[in-house]
Amino acid sequence: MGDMNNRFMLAQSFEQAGEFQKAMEILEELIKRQPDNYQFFDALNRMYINLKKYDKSAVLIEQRLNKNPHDLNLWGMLGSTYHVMGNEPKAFEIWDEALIKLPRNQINYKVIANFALQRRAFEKAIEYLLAGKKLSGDPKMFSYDLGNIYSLTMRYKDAAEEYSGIISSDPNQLRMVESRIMAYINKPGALEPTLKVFQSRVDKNNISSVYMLARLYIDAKDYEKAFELYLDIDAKQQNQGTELFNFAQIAFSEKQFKAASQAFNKIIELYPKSPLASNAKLGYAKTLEASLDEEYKTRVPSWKTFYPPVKISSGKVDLVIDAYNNIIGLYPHSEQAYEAYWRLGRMKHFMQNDLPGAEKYFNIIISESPLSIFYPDALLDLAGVELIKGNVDAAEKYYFKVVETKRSPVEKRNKANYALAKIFFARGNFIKAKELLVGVISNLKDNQANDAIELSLLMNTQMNDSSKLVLFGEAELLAEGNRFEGALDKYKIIAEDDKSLMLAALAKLRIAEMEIALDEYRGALLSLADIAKEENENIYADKALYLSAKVYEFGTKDLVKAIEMYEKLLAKFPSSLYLDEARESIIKLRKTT
Amino acid sequence: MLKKIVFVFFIFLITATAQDKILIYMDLEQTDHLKAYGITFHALTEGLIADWLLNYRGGSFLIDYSNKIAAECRIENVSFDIVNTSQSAEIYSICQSEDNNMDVVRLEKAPKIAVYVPPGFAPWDDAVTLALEYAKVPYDKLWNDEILRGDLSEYDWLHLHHEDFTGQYGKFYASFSSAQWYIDQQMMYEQNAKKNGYKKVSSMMLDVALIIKNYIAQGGFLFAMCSAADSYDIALAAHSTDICAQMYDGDAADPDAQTKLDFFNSLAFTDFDLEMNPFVYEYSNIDIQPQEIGSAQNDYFTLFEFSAKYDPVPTMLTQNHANVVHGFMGQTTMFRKNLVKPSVIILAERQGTDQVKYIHGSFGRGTFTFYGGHDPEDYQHAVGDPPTELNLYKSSPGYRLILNNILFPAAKKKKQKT
Repeated sequence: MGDMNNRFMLAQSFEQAGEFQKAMEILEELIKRQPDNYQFFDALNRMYINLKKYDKSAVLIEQRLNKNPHDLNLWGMLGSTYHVMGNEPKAFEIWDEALIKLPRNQINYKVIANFALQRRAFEKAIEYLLAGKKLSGDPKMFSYDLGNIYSLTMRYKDAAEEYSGIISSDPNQLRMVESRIMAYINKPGALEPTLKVFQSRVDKNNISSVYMLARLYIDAKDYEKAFELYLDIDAKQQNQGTELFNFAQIAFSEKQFKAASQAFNKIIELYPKSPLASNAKLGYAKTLEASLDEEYKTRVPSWKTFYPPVKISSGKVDLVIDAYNNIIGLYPHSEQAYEAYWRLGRMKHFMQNDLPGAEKYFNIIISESPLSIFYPDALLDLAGVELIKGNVDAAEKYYFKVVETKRSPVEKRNKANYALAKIFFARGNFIKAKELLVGVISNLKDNQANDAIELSLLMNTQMNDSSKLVLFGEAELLAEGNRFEGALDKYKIIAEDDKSLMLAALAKLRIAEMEIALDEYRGALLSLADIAKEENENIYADKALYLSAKVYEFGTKDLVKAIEMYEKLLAKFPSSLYLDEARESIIKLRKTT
Repeated sequence: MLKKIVFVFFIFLITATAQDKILIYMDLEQTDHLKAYGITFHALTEGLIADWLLNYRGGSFLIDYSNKIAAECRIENVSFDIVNTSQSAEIYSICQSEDNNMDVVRLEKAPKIAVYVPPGFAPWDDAVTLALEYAKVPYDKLWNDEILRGDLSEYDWLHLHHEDFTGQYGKFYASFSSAQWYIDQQMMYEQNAKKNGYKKVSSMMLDVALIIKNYIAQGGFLFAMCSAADSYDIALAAHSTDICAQMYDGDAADPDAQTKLDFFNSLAFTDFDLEMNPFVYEYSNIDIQPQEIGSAQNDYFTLFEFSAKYDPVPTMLTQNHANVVHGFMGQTTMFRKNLVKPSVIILAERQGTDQVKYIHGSFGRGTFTFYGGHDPEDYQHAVGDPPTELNLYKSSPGYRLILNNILFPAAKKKKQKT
């Protein structure tokens, strides 16, 4: 026996080394000595298959089968040998025969189906699994396999029918079925037939089937239908809005604000005492605001350097205001309430141009909660309001508070420092202005750094003409405060002075920008053409061409002229900063014209 | 009289403009080397005359002036100069002077390009399609169905990427056999083989390889990268044996497969040893192993310099603004020099080693070019890695070699100098 073991181990070593012929010779010798040894038999059969000696394999298995006619595994192996030798009909005949001759048993179908699967005879495997399923008292045992093969072979409708059947017979299988379906649902052609099957087979009394359909609606981006189903699920589950809340969060993350707000609102309406109610309220308000913000962005002429406040009179504004006020009323002095105040203040400022209204909200945060994370934001926004009102001293005070507040994040301090520098610049205190800019410039990653460098450069080069610099600073403050006409007059005075080249060039550009802000496109185009004509004499010549193109594109809507201007920019200023944007615009406009 | 003078002056202006040319220089001053190929390609589709100035300022292009092409250059950020008649005559004379290793190759017509890719393929899976998309060069996608029904004859140039022509699914079995993408891929190939009347994927792939070989023989241009290069040649050599293990084609490989290889039938490689272990991620010893390459920092390959006037084809294929190019890995990274057939021209190699990166050869009336590695700007691209953003590699010398191949079929055949 010891010798046989050693010989067997030697055969195994030959097999591992790929020396199948040598392994076979040893195994043939061993099987002669011990014909009933399964290990020898199995290994020898493997060698025959490896060496493509299929006839020998068949004889070997048949000999063993004669002795053990009830061994299903041997039937399976024999079929496989015929299959690998290319005799598919014979293989199927043997597998069929096994299922007829052996006692009718669902497991036998599964075993033979596995042999067919190993041979990648998918259709035959499906046939065996379907037969086994019919025989079985537990069809899901077969349905999972069937669903898997169907989805692999891209028969998505059949797969959905199997999975839907599992949920119908055993709703507890939902998570397993969901994970199986989600694994392939994004493949081309999978979603539509799957959705159709679940639509036609949905059972309102089977919550799992409803849930699965709702999940598929989300994948199909049909949030309306998904919402209706989640409502139903939530009512039946008595989960105090948990399912609806999950749905609302998915919809919010997918920017489906309408569906998200509906769902949040429904939680508030149906489950006011749910632990999720406060989060649902905040979610509801933010969803409404996000939706409003999308609408607002489409109305703002962001292509302009300066533009007057854009009021939005949509009924949605009141809805958002009510939602935030609701939070303030229910959860006073909480961080959520201060966030609500701050958001309300910004809405009043930017969307409604209601400066006193905005001030009121920002002041609540400043007076009540200096420790709130919204405190520096409220100060910055309040300073902005004061600048628009022309109260430069008040704005200065708030900006200084931002800088002095230790809890203010660096980027907010930089923002305040830059704003302060501009105020001191307008007052003619250039030393103080430059001092304030140093900190901003030292942090080049900051958004304000570029503007700060530009302002610093302007002061350094134009220090000898301080009266014009001060005038320019005043004009800048006016422009920022949306008083474009006043600013325009001052810029015109500066532009007339040919001595201060850089300042005059910038003032000329600003004139055009003010004209654009005032919708005086004809005048703006003339001003810009004058600058562009100066080419290398004016450092803003390329920007002038770029702005001309923008005016044609968005102002006068002359797209052909816009393309012409962008192309001119590319031809005349091959090193301009605006080239990439110009190229993108040309490509975009060419598609539309 | 005044009208007449104005008219004559106007005519003079137009004539002068029409005789100007656009010089797209391809040396280090070029801002976007890759898009320059796209511009030249478009000029050819517009029916303009374009010359490829071999070895002149990095392999520049001289194109008849047209406002449209000039505007395209500006939009695509491709640097160029407008040269007048006397300047272009001077450039031609420099290129054609016997003192300079330069020449002028006239590009006749934009080649019709096909890329061999499976359905559902995304452009970022493949460096060539990335380059074509970036340079805005149009191409069609072909797969087995189209090749088997004879569509290849409609194309001048065919690209193969990392498809496995041996039918072993890239030999990813050991690492990825349970990964969904692997399962789906195997299923897709099997269904495709069944649809086309084949019992085995490997049999179908062999027929596809043979049709491609015939396409080259008839005058087609084949460009293969990464594992398509060696797997293609191995499939051709293994036409009369079975090299696929059971997990790949359902039956065992022929134990004598190695001795049955027919190297007469392969295009580029000879006398290679197959890697018969199905669990080893390698087809043969053609490919250079990572441990032979060493560190990425030292992985550079050098382009050979050819005589532009006597060997215009290899010269075209090696036009570049850099002669030493950073290497990059792939399922097949480089080829072992002693296994390359003597008739094949080595275009680039790692100096001082037996590792070659870029080879070119002829078969029948056509040619083939093999380029090792997956993505010239992603040293070790792994399955699932994000695509390379070519905007960041506008002057990639490695990508330029790919694009040389798409313009080379456009070249007008000259009589060989003797």
